[in-house]
Formats: sequence, C-alpha cells, structure tokens
Amino acid sequence: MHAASAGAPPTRRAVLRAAFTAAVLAGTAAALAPVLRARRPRQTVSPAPLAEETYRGRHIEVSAAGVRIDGRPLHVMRRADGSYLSGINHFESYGTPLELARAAVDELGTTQLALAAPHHG
Amino acid sequence: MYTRQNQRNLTSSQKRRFTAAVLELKRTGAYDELVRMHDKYFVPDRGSKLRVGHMSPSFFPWHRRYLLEFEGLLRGVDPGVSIPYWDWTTDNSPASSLWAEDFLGGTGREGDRQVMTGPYAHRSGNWEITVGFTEARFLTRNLGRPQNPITLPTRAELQWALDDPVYDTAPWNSTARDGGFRNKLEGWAAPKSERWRNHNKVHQWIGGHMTGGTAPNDPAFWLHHAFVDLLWDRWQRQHPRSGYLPAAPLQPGDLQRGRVISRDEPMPPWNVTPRDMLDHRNLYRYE
Repeated sequence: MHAASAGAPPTRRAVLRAAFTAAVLAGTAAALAPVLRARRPRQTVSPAPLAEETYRGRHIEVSAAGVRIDGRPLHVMRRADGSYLSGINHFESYGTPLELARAAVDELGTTQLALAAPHHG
Repeated sequence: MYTRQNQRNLTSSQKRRFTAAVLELKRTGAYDELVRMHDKYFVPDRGSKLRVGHMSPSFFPWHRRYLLEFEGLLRGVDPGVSIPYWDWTTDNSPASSLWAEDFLGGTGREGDRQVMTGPYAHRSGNWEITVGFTEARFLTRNLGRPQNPITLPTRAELQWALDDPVYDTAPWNSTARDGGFRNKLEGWAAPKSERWRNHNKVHQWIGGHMTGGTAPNDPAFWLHHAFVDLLWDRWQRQHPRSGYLPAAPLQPGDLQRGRVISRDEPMPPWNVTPRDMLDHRNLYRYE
C-alpha cells in the first residue's frame, strides 16, 4: 500500500505513527462533523455531492451515495474497464458518473426517472 | 419447422397477425415477464457475478434461447407467426417501412419521446409500459438520435465482425479487444476512432427504451435480435472450422471462472447449454 512496505516490513514506530495520525484525523472529523452538518443548507444524511450541475434544465448530483437526476436515483453499473453504465444507457459506457448522468438526461428528454428501478441482476 | 422472414417481405396480413399475437402476450402479462427477464440478466462485467446475456461468450446462445421463449409464446397464440428479422444494413432509415403505421410505428415526438403512431403507441390503449427505469407509461423512441446523429451499422462494419475467425477471446467480456467475433458483433470492441459498433449501435440508434435494460419493451428488439441471431449462422458458415469458445470451463485461478458459460454449461434461467443452441435447423430457418 505504501512505499515502505515494498522492501522491508514497516517499523513498529512507523506503524504507531500511522495509527496515531489516523486516530487524530478521525477525531478531527468527529469533532468537526456537527459544525459541517450545521453549515449545510438542509438536513440530510447523504454525503456532500462530488459534482452538481444543471444540464438541459435537469439537476444532476453525483455523490458517494450515487447519481441523482432531479433527486431521483439513477441505477449505476460498472464495466470491467472502469467506465460507467446506467439503467438508461446499457449499450454504451461513459468515463465518469457525470458524463453518464448527462447521457441519461439526453435520453430521457422531459421524462423523469422512476422512483424505484426494477430489480436488477 | 418454420421460417423467419425478412420484415421487408412481410405481407400486410402477416404484419397484422404478428402484431395481434404480440398484443395478446402484452395483454396476458407474459410479455412484461420477458422484459423483466432481460433486465434481470443484464449483468455488467465489473463484478464477479455470472454473466449470461451480455458482455460474455453466451451473448448469442442466450439470446437465441430468449427469442425462442418469446416465439414459442407467440406461436401459442397464432401458430402461423414467427419473429421477422430486420437487416439494419439495408433498411437503415427512419423512413423504412419497418417504422410505418401498419407495423412498428414511428419515432417518438419531441420532448418526452413518446411513440405516437402504430400499434404500440400508448394512445392505442394496448401498450402500457410496466417495467421501466422511468416514469413513462408510454413507449419511447428517438430514431437516429437527431440531437447527436448516429447511423446504423454499415455492411463493412458488419463484415469486419464476421471476418474474425475466432468466436471469442479472453478475458471473455466487453474488454476483449484483440479479436473475437462475439465482442465485435455485440459491439463493445471497435477501432479507436469510433466507440460502439453493430448490435450496441442499433440499440442506440433506436433510442428511448431500446437504450436501456428494459429494451424489449420495444417490439423492435425482437426484429433486431433475430437479425443478430441470423448473423451467428452467417459467421458459422463463413468459418466452418471455428466453434464456440470457451469450449471447457475455465481453469481455477482464471478470474473469469464462474462468470462466463463454456460450451457445455447450462445457461440460467434455462437448463440449456450453448452447445444445445449451436444449430437451430430442426426448429426454424431464415429465408
């Protein structure tokens, strides 16, 4: 995972340092969480979006929890090469979730995604 | 033994009978069960699940069996009906008779892409979409994708796939780029200048429901796949010494082991192997 592990096993000190750093970061995140939550415009349990835009009048949101178009979930799948497919685009794939969402909007026209997608294998 | 005809040669009466049988399956709910099955078995190749229908060697035999399922139901309604095929290298325009009012109906309207003509228009009262990823209860199409135009595969593009003497190659998925008739015809493999070809491109050209996992909501699906099925025959004739691959289950340690179907393994949801599907001449033939 990190360079040191390739040659020799990490020293006890390095392991302790890494553990300490992680604990501090986790502690900081825990301490800041209420502050960050309070600063959000609305109460939500989903993480902040990684990308958000209006495309052809539709609201696209990409977050760690998935892709949404006008608040409706887009069923996202991956190809072996890492590219993305969706319930709307099964026969071509896209480099990023944002491109995938735009392609879905192009295909949807003025139609909304369903609130619940059909079961998928 | 029956014949699958080129859709361009169907008489008005044959078109009427095909349509009536399709509408009857829609009415009973059997049609929508088939739509659900197609979506369920679309398993992409990033994960470790078994892929039978797409991005895998069994793309051809799985769809052959799937079409037979549909055709068996159709012929239960009307024994004189079979699935016509659509040669998209020839009838390659939204103006083709395939899309006329008396057969599949035309493209979708602007905005919501709703199909407004023919027997599958929602306003006909016979074609309600119940299995879909969108709220649309009507069938959608976007023939030729006018906003970002796309053309149907050419004869040369098709021949490029048919000329490959190897059925499929490792890693037996959508990234098999070095060759393999299956991935070239399924359409994930393409020269760098263009990204999608053949089967995949036809789904994109029709647009609307045909681009998604519930593609069989559009009856055009069956005509498209009957042609894909015929192309498997054509490839077999062109390469009589080539066969289905992988011929045996993959070795332990192969990452694709358990994810793809070799020649003598059964394909869910049926207890049918690719070998069982290699020859259909005792069931049907193409005109």
